[in-house]
Amino acid sequence: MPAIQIDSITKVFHPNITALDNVSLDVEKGEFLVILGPSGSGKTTLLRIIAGLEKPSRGRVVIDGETVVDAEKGIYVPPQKRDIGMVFQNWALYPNMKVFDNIAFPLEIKGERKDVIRKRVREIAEVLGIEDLLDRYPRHLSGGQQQRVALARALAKNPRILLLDEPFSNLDARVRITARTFVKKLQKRLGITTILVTHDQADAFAVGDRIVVLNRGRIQQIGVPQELYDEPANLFTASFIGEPPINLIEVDNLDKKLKDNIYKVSNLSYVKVLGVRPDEAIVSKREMEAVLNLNGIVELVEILGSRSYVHVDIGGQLIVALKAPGEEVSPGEKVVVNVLKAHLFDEEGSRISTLRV
Amino acid sequence: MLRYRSFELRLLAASLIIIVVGVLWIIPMYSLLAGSLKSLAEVQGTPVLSPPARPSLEAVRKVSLELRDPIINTVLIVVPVALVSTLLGSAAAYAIYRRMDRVSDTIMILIAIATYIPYHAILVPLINLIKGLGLYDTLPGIALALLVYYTPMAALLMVIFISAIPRFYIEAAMVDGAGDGRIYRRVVLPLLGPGITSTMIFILIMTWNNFFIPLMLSRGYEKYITLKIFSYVGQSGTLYNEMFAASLIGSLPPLIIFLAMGRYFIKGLQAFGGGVKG
Ligand SMILES: Nc1ncnc2c1ncn2[C@@H]1O[C@H](COP(=O)(O)OP(=O)(O)O)[C@@H](O)[C@H]1O
Ligand SMILES: [Mg+2]
Repeated sequence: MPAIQIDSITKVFHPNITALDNVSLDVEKGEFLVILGPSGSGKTTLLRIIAGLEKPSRGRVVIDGETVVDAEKGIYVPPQKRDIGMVFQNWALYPNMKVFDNIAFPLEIKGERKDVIRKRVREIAEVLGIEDLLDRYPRHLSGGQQQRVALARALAKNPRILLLDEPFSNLDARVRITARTFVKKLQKRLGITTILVTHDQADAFAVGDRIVVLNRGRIQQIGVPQELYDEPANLFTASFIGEPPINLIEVDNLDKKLKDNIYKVSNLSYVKVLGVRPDEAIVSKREMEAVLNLNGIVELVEILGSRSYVHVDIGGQLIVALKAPGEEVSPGEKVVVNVLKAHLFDEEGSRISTLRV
Repeated sequence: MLRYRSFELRLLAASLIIIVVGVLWIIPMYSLLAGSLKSLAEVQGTPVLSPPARPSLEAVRKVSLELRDPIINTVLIVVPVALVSTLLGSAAAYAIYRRMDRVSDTIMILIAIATYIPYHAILVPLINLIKGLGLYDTLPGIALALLVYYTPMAALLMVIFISAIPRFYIEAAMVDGAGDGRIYRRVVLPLLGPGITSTMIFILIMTWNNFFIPLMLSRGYEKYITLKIFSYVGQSGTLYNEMFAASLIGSLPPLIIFLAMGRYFIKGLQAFGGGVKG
């Protein structure tokens, strides 16, 4: 039995905003699931529906076999009774309470004895490395510290599920990287079923066992991180994931010879868009063994330390690809883009096939 | 350059407005003070704005003795009324806030109506209620009537202050497992500090200045400061210097409260705009 079943959830906000459109998804016990999508894609809404802070227009959510909300049957369990820990995007630490009291608050509500509370707060503070902060007020903490306190508060009552809404987005770059590792390790250590939402693919790849890609309230793809990169289900996932972003080439805009070549190698006549990742194509002065060899002229060379990307004009379309190691190319030069792997998309934007050498 | 000039102009305009308002406000205060320091003959024979020829504290001294009991009575009434109406109002405001999406509009309109109802409209039933409870001509009777009349106003003000509290604090508490009572006590109330103070000051001043309700609910003039001040009018010819002195002393407590607590009042008003700093 999955830890969380999300079954055909639709949420329509007044007057007519469909924030979630028929979303279904199972989360396994102990899994770290990431929901990845651009701003406004419905991530927070989904999290709030799981927590019980929002009611779905249609569909149901089942946690550990217990239906916590079912729009059709009129079942609704309030957040207080769902036994969930949640970290809000801005952490929402109670400003009038010291760190200790923030963490103790959920335990106090459970009616735990004073000494039990004290022991548990110290325990969880130690796990999160915030023992020294217990006497401070939240406003005297740095972003990273506040985040840990928020995590401690969410975990204090040993909830069956942990929900994290963009937990890293308010941290500066350096703290962010340590925080990701920290959260990932903590989650594995505690084995708690966790859903994290983020708009940042680096967050998602750093912590997620599986990633759900969400766009405009619809699930685009569910998979392990590598899958999303290697086998994007559609143009949205392909272009949303990967850095630098994938090259998307309109087949209709290519010259006839090249077009015929693509049709020939793919054996498909309805290919509309070709997707080529910059890291899966090599710019060189000579032809290599490849799925496609595209001739073009160098526009710009971008040097990023260990690797360089070359912007190449192939008959009016720009394509970014990796420079062949050991070669030198400069703007204006004639080169070949050797495509090692190409994703083919149809008119609807679905991937129909992938060509590789 | 141009922008700097227009900024200067606006500053000048603002200063002018402040000065005009200040003067308008200070004139009655000044005439109160001047009048209280004159003898009866002088106060009747000279223009209100002329300074006293031979300042004398006689009227002030006499009146302050006479005002002592009414002031104590009034304090005994308005302090609990301000406290209770603010607390009741904040609890009501929290209940409304939590159901904002469903019932809000109708309830808010009802409260607004209750706030702006003139006394005259509800006075007869209110007097009947107080009489029915056997509280006519008692301090608790006046207090109860003021409480009934001012609690909606306190609730209305508190709704505005509560709306400035970010919703995520309340949602975090819900996820933490807290019910409404606990959220109100542990999360909302502590964040409402400035709002509570402002509302309490406001109700204190409003009730202190109230005249009509104590007038209708008591015999004689001893139970309320405004009644006592009024009593200097008329009886056997008006004792203008004593009336001035009574008004002066009677208006001091709200003034002192405002000066002492003004800081919090302003802080509360700022909460309207800025929300609560975390
Ligand atoms: N309370 C609300 N009322 C109306 N529209 C809302 C509300 N909450 C969210 N939305 C809308 O629903 C969509 C999804 O929002 P949200 O779940 O916050 O997205 P994300 O967290 O992915 O940025 C957005 O278009 C947003 O404007
Ligand atoms: Mg969001």
